[in-house]
Amino acid sequence: MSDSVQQVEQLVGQEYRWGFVSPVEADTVPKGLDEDVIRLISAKKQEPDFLLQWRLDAYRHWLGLAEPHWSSAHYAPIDYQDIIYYSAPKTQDRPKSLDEVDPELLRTYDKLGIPLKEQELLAGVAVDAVFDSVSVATTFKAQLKKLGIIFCSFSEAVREHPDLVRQYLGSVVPPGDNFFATLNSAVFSDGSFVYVPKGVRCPMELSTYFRINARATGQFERTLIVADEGATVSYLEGCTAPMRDEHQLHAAVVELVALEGATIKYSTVQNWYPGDKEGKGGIYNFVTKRGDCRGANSKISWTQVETGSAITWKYPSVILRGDNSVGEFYSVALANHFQQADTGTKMVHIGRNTRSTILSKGISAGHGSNAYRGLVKVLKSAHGARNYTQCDSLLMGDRCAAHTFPVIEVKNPAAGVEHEASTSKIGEDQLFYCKQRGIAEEDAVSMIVNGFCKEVFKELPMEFAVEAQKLLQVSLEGAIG
Amino acid sequence: MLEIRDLYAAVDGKTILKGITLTVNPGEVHAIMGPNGSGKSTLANILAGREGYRVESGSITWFGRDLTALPPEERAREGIFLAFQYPVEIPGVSNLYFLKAALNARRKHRGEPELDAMDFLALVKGKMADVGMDEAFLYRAVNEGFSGGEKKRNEILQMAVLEPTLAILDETDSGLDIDALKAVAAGVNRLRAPDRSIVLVTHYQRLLDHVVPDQVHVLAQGRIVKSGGRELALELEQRGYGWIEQEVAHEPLL
Amino acid sequence: MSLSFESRPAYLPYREAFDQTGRLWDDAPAWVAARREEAWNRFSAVGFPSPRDEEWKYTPTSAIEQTAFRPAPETLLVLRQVEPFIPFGFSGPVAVFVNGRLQPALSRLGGLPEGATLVGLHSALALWPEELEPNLMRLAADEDNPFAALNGALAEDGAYLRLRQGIELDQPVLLLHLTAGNHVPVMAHLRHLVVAEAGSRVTLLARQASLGDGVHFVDTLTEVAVGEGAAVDYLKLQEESPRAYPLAQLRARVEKDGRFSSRIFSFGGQLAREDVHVELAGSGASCQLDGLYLADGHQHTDTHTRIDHRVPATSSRQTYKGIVAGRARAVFKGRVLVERDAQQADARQANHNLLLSPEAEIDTTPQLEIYADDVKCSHGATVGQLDEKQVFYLRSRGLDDAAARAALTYAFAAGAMEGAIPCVREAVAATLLERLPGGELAREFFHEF
Repeated sequence: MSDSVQQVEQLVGQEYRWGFVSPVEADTVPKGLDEDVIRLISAKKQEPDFLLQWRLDAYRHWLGLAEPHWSSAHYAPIDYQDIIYYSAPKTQDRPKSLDEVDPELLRTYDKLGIPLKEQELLAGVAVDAVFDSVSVATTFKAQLKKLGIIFCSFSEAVREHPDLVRQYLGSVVPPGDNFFATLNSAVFSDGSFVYVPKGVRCPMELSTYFRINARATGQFERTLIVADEGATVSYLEGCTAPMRDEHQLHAAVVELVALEGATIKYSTVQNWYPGDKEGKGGIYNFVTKRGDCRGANSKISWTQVETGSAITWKYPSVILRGDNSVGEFYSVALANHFQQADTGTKMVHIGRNTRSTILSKGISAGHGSNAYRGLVKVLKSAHGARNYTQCDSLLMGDRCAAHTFPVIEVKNPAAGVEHEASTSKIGEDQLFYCKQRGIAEEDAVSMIVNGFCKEVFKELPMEFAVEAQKLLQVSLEGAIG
Repeated sequence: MLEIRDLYAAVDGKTILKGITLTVNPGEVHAIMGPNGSGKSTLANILAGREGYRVESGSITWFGRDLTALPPEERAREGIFLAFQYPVEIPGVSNLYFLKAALNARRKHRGEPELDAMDFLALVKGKMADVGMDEAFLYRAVNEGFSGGEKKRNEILQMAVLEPTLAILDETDSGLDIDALKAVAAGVNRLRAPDRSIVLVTHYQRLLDHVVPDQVHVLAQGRIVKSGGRELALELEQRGYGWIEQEVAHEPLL
Repeated sequence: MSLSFESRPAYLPYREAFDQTGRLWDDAPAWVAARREEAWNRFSAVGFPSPRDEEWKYTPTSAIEQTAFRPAPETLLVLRQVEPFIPFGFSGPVAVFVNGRLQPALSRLGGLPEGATLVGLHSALALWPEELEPNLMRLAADEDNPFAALNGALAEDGAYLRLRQGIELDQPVLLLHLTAGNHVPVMAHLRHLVVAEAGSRVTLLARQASLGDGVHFVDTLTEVAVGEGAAVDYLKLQEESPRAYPLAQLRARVEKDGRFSSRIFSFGGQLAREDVHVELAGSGASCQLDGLYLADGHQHTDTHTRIDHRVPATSSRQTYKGIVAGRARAVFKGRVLVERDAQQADARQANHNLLLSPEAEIDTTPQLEIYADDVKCSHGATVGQLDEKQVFYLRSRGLDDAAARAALTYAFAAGAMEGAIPCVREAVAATLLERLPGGELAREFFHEF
């Protein structure tokens, strides 16, 4: 192995910076899962009957399902009875304003770089913060309310807007969709809910920060975003978790519904704890994300930067049902040390003249393994459908792996599908060129990797793009962390 | 300032340079000429510290220090600039950002304050005008999609911005049309200064019509077989490299 | 779990066929019987592939399983029946197989230079058993393809082509297989072995067709050992009847600095499948796999390629094109595997498809699986239609719409014939024009024929 490769490997030997545990008192249910636990969760959240029934149906269905092992990921079996399915920071009542939020919690978000108060005042980004299982604070609510936009925790939506929840919940990801989505349907604790009414353009970015804090806790959040006819919304999601020796499970479900002429942009910066350099600990991030372009001329765009988690399985997809609807997937996934990232998308073209774009950038370092898995399906009805896919993989170090598994199924002769993929090592000549201009190796690596990801970063809202770039830099730097 | 003594160097385990001795003093312009495969580019890359190019014996000193002990980025910050024969493309990284990072790395190394974006822009725009490059190039990715001539101009721009103490131009003239060649030559001439030296590695003498060297060295089979003034380049132009190679071949082996 | 193969109705006829073909190998060395047995056990353990099998996801084989194929009877043909399948102007050695058996009287096996041998597998086993032992049913022993196992168990005959060190054949060698029609569904299993020793060079032509339009199932397996610095070029034209089930596997192992190329034209069959698996086993080894598949009517065509880059400094190139019309379906899956430490692998793959009808379907799955870092790998896949700008251009020059489309479709396909030996190119072009949608119109445009 050349010196340069060794240096690169040292550089990517990053430490996790968000690995603190907050000393917040928590209200948790006992470990394990049965119908009583589900009843308890539902009762704690004062849910209406239909939802309890929905959860129980999902649970009963889940009992008959087998954990999937089709992905190329390798991991020790998960003991589903050894997980705490509900953990909420202890407060007497739900806080009415940020002043009532436990200061320890606010300090936690400060450490995460999400100063809720300042953010509310300065940044003009509405934030919903989910701590373990429960949404603790939503900012900017009043201002959004004036426009008729609902942005609140899922629990609150269940209480305040049960009809909307009932109408759309499970309509994109049915409760029996897959093993982890079904488990989520049974035990989901909280998440965000967004409804943007007809013709309204949401004036600010909506943002949710998720954090797993308590030990042995699974996080099963559920997010539902509905953009009514002609509405537009951009939603951001960020995630972190403390450093723990054991693995923790994160099985979220995100459902997006775009009605006629609506646009939803969903951006994720996923930085769950990835485990240590030996692959010990870290989050299992098994997530189901799907959007439904239900109306004509609607658009759903997924952008994700995935740098965390021990294992990620995630395929944010778009069902292009409405004529002329547009689906996009922009992804950067970094797998370092012993991380395994298996991610990609499904674009299902049903409507006429539907269009989709897929741009995936995978970076593998150390013993990391990165797989792009994608499906582009053009049904008979999708006259004039177009897809363009590009998947690039960058390799650093001789023990990492990169795989590309696209599937293209076309049943319409007026459709056009193009797929391109490339895999290559980080360029020795590029590194040398930078160094010859006096740029330090670690800066050069970071510069080249950021350049590699640029087309994806430019899809992120500005604040997030800067954060993503920094995150990637930290993930690639050695001592700094 | 640069002293090369009896240098043997190998690429991929094969010895290419076989006893090079060369002194470059401040303010001098040296031309290194020679047929293909004579080791010209190897010498340029050895000076810049490229991986895979290994010094087997002999020494290279830079202001009295052992140059070979320095990693490539240190050499660059010390003022050694290599204009690449094949400039590298770096997708997604803008020329502007790249140049600023490079200049500030050098300034920091010298204990000078780093330039902010405004000052840097002012500086680089002036230099671009000198080189005859459109400002749009600043916002494009480094060398990506540049034509051969544009890449070479970009190398000259970088040289002008970084103001090296020693500039090594590795066949920067090859493949250029006459306008681009003149622009490159003008860029080099503008850089000439009493405290700065230039090494031109070239196959043809046409660049030397525009940049007049103090010394010309002919490299053949890994050795400098002849040194002289500018007239040597003209002689090579007329007679080709064959006669020199023959002279070398007839020399007794020691 | 589905029923075990042994309890399914298809089991018995195949078991009978296994016993019956066993008699053909009575004189063969004991290891042949052992390997047949081993292959049979592998096949009977799994039976026909299920749709849940990832490798057969898009290609159901139930139609084969549910048809009661009998081993094809020995059939004698006369030269006149065979001649149309020998490309015009071809004068090299020919091995003719009919219904799975070598027909020496119709073949030209002799005339090869010293150091080159072309014989039937039975003769080869009698003459040089120790020479075949390391390769026969060994190059393709680890296949998990059920039809490779079935072939190992049921093969009746095949060709053995061997080139000694440094022998270069200027003339290509033709392997022709014809299945003669019958009133009952018949099957034939053919197994060829090609051993090209160090520094040798040969071009192999394989042609496969039907006589009559009976229903038949032909399972061909070709094993190729490419020695150090040797070069083997394989070119195949499959033009079976639309009622046939031609399944074929090509398995090559390429040693240091060896070179293997294949170019497969797959035009016929109700259900046709080509599996190409190349192992680049020595540094400097390279392969180029190209092909053109055509499916119309109710045809189903499937191409699977797999290239294993096992050691450093190997390279591979693939270009497959497909044209799908009518209610046909085409499947392509190309897998490139770069093993750990197989540094400096250079792999490129392209798959381009023309989808010409609203009832047709294309499923393409290019795959890169990479465990080394110093690699250059890429793949590209497209599914689309003729370029309307080009159609318009031709129409503006006076062609009618149908002729313009036919010409462009032919031009798309013709790229796959470039560089082939002239007599082969003509044979392929003739078949292509005959089978291509609008081929008649294209013929007029490309005055060649």
